[in-house]
Amino acid sequence: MAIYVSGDIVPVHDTSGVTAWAAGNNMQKGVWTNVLDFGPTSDGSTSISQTVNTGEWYNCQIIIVHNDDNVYHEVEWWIASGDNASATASQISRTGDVSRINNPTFSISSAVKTITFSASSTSNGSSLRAYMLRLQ
Amino acid sequence: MPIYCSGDIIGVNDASGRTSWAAGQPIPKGVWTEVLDSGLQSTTYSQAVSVGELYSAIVLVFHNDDNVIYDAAVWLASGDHASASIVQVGRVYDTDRLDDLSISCSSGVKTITFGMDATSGSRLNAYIMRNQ
Repeated sequence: MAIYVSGDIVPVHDTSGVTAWAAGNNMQKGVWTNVLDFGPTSDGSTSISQTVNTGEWYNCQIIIVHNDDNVYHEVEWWIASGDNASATASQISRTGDVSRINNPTFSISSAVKTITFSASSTSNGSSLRAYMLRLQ
Repeated sequence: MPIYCSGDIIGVNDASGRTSWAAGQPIPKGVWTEVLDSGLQSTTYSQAVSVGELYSAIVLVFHNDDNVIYDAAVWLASGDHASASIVQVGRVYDTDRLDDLSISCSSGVKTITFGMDATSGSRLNAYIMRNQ
């Protein structure tokens, strides 16, 4: 069997199966990438807020999962679009305890999107995870 | 790093990171593929795209106007050699911009027509993830 390659072969997964990516870099297109893995909380805090530089992109899908003491409390599916100076996200659907996850907010500079993910945390053990699939 | 292969290695992405695909060809399975980028439009827009042979897929459609999402919809498509159907799973935002998708089928090859209302600066992007 011959292998013919017209571009670079880029491994997208690390050994755990998670897409390899570091905040501040551009995401690879077409693969789900874990952009936030926060928690579990242990200090009794009542809210979570994390800002993530997700690099340059123009539209994507976003899945956000809120988990509290190993029970999922909320899952949301969003789509997002933007240009060099602005971005908007719209929710496709939501399930679970709908008061836990806050709407994601954006700040943009030269097409680089920084997203703030946040959620209520009613007890120790809450975690917030966000996954993105960059399309463009 | 050794590479162990049980089949052919098929490059699915071009240099820009987009899935390599040309209209009329079958779409690689399991990867999101851009099937339509309308460019900037200012009037009503409609475009039929031959998406090749497919039997089930997820279709995601974005309407963007002056770089703001005005409408976005998720659809499921299914069909055989002679017929196909498509159903909307969800839609958000300004729901009167995107037209409902229509689909025609010949020998398993599906042609999907994407359409939208457009004001100056409007753009329609469509992505398909072929499952089968």
